[in-house]
Amino acid sequence: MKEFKPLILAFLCENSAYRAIDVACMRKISYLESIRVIKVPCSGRISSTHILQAFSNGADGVIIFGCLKGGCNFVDGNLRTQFRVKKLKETLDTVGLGGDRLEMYLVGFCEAGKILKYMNDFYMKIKEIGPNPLKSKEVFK
Amino acid sequence: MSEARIGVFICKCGGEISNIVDLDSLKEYVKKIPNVVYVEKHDFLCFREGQEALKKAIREHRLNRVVVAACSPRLHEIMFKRILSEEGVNPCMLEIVSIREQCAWPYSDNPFKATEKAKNMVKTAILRVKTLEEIGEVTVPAKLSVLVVGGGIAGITAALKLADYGFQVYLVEKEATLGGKGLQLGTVFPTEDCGVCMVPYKLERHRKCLFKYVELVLTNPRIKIFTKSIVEHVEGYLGNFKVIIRKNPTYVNFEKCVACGVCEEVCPIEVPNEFDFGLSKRKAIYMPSPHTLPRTYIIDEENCNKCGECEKVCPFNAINLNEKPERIELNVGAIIVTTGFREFNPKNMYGYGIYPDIITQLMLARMLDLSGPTGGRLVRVSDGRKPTKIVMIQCVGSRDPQINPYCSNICCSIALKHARSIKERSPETDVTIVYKDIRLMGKNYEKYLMECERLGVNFVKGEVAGVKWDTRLKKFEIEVESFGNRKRLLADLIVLSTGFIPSSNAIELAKVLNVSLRRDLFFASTHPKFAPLETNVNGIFVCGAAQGPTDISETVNQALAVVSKVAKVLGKGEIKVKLSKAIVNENYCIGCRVCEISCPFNAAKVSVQGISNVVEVMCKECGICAAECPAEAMQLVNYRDEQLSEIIKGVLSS
Repeated sequence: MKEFKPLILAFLCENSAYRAIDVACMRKISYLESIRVIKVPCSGRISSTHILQAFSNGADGVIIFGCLKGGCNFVDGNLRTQFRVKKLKETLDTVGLGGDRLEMYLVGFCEAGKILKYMNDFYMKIKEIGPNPLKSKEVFK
Repeated sequence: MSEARIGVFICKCGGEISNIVDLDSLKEYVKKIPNVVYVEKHDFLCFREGQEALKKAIREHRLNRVVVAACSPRLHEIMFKRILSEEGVNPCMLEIVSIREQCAWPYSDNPFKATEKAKNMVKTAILRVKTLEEIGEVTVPAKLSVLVVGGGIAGITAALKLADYGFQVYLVEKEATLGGKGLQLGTVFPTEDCGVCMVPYKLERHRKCLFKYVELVLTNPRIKIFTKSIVEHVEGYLGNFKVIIRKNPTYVNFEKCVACGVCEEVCPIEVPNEFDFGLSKRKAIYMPSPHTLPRTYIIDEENCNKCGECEKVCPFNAINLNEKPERIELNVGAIIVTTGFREFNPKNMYGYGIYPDIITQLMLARMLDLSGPTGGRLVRVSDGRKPTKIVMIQCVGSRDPQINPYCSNICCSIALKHARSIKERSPETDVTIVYKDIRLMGKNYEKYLMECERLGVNFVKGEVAGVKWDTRLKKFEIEVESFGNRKRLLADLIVLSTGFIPSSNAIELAKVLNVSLRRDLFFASTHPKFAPLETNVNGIFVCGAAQGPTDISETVNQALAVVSKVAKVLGKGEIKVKLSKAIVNENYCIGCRVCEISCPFNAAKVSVQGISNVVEVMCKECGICAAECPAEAMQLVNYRDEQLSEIIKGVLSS
């Protein structure tokens, strides 16, 4: 059987995590290529719909990076999303998808190492959990 | 809208990209995607040749959307946008894919992976660029006037500078006189200048004097002062605020009053003067200090019985006891909040309020002031004798998790300043400072500490365990816990270095202005480092001690910084606003007010008809409202739900 390679979607706030990744890549540090990256103006823009959309489009896990607490350019966008993520994790548990497939971290824009570590850990976790059950059903496609 | 004609420009970056990513296969892959009319590789897109090639291709192929696959957007985005606008394409129709930073460099050891990722990223960018909308600009006229709330050092500095720049300034002060806390200080650190005594004199003779400014404010034709006034209502946005001010009666017209003092002689009422913390007495009509500016008598509403004696004797008819409060409406372009701080009241701490000889640093400042109630003599409040042993206790009401967790920044410098000036005046007086940490944060402040040590001020590190009054010795007994040892100190005057808390009506003002406060109730800024003086409402700024305890030099710095910010925004008389903002689909809006609550900048407002409305000038394009909206009526232009889902689909497809 082919080895399971999780497909992970990462939402990066363009004010912190995206810059951090950019700088890390300039130093030629690589991250797993099956982690796909989307840049958003603020982590507060990510609604529950987008996260669910990612799952229905075949993502095995969704990881969100926002700015540090108190460092959000838009006052509290990061904390609002953190709250939404917390609620959505419960919902994901209820529907059987598993709340562990969703994670949010608050990072500063010079903490590339931390981001890469979080990404790696998350990747390993998803690998253990297994593929997204929606993938085989194709109900949402 | 016309059909999308997308041009894809791939940069080789002189081999940095082309050596790793297989650009030929990328090109073939891109060609097959619909709507792509032009794909080409270039050596260096950022060089002149590359730029010319880009321009030529846009012209020849009539491209209206452009995807650039090159380095990080952080490097050359502005340049590419400029090229687009030069060629008559809306600069928003650009999508930059950083195949160098995201593909070539991190996967330099695995060209296959890098190429696959580059294909995916470029495809997503093409999907996204198709959905982009043109973004226009609107110009909003801005009023060339500014409201400054608070007439302390920050307010005065800001008002004067703004008037210099040609703005009409309205200065609102809740007290009857300008000057704020600065008026109560005898001398000010770090230069030991006189803070107040030179106020009424001409500025030529005392150039260093801080309060020469107050006189300039009073005479400046562009500054209108409202004393005893508060801001009652604010609406509008940057460039166009409508403000209603309630001007409480001062009863004395400061333009007519010459401060002859006749009224004070006939006034029958006598009460303690709170400006001097009860060290002196005053009448109900009085001058708080000989250096008050505007130089006028003021009437204390609480104690005045309106007998009318002063009205009769005033030779200039400056007094009108029947004055009523009035409402004044103003139109301003920006608002600056400089409401400052007040001293924390250490009631019942260490016996303050029980023993009259336990005082605060501000009260000590009044005593040490040469023009103060005691003429600069240091006395014990209870018996008027000169104290021989003085103990100062630091961090009263600050750095205490139960009361105020923050450090008040300036109390250490104040204590050292007073210790030094006591020691210089009477070297035989014993001064001890009990401290947790000495925190001196300004330039040259360390000099203070060294000078204090040279003059013989004692420093004891530790925490005060208790203060007792020893009736036999007629002295206070202070028990200090210092590094595990208990020390006993004797004193006949205790000075508490109290922390500072926000001005009394800061909460009220924050409600009126719709500005958020921090947990410690000082005004919050949008970003602690990069936008320290901007509040969450565009066009409302905060400076000075209203955003945290600061010393005078920092306050002046902040006031000047805010002035430059205001001048930059309003200076042209109009504000250009890019329309990449949140917009409302009125058919979907259910008027639930979630956007109104969630918007950190108060840009979204639900109208009377129950439909949300976004004020473009105030919106800062974060998209929080769009994420929170339960009806998906609120959308952020170019980050709409459909546009984002397009990206999600593109990124996740293999």
